[in-house]
Amino acid sequence: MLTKNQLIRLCSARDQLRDVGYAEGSIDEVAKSVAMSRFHFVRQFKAVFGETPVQFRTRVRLDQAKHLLIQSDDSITDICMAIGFSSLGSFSFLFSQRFGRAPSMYRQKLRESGEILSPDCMTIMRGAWESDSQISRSTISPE
Amino acid sequence: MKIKLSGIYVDDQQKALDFYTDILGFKKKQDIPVGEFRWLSVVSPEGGDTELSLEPNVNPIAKTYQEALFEQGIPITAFEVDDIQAEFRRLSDLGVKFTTEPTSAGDVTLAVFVDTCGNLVQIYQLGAG
Repeated sequence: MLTKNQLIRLCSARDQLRDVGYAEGSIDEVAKSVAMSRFHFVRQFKAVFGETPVQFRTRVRLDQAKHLLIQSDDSITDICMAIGFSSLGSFSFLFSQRFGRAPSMYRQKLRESGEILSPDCMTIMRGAWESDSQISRSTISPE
Repeated sequence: MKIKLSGIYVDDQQKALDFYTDILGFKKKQDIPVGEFRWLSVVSPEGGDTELSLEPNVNPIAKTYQEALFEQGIPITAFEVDDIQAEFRRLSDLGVKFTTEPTSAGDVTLAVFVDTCGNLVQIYQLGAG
């Protein structure tokens, strides 16, 4: 069972991990701040949020990088540093893995296409029905 | 007018699809790419044609709403089950975390679990109170 108090502490940890200014390797500090051992914290965090604290922090940072790439003219290196990565190679690799293309290509493609960065559900629904995916839609209907 | 589609916000669509199909047992219905997101929905294998869409919480307003409900312990939606004790045991065995064990509330028994995508979800059994 997950108590209300544990849930609130885990949410607090999530907020801390979202802070890009947090130094690498600070999982111990976050665990300590919510009064859990590192082992217990990682296990509980994964059970509640479906990913480890490190995976969560990486995903959040990459999402922030995505916004910076579109909304600013900062260099890829500056964005990499701003979101807390110390290695440009790691950043580019992880970004490509999550969004399917390298940061510079991603910036170029989104700016050209004018795609909405944070679409609402109605926009996504309309996009789905206007897309050319009519065939895939019928093929995945339950048998 | 029919209720055919309902939706919840999720923090990651693939993670949500895995949880709602592999753990809860729903079936994927729609999966249409829209840019880097998907129009994604699941249905119950037990019948009915109401779809539950798993919508990305990328809009900041959606994220704020989702996180506020979660932190206050309020479920975002509810599913009916035939045997709540059996579902509680099955899901617990799969590692799902409950914030409320099966609890009688009049003529209904309810329980609440975490969906790993930023939501609390309630299940309930009618006539089991």
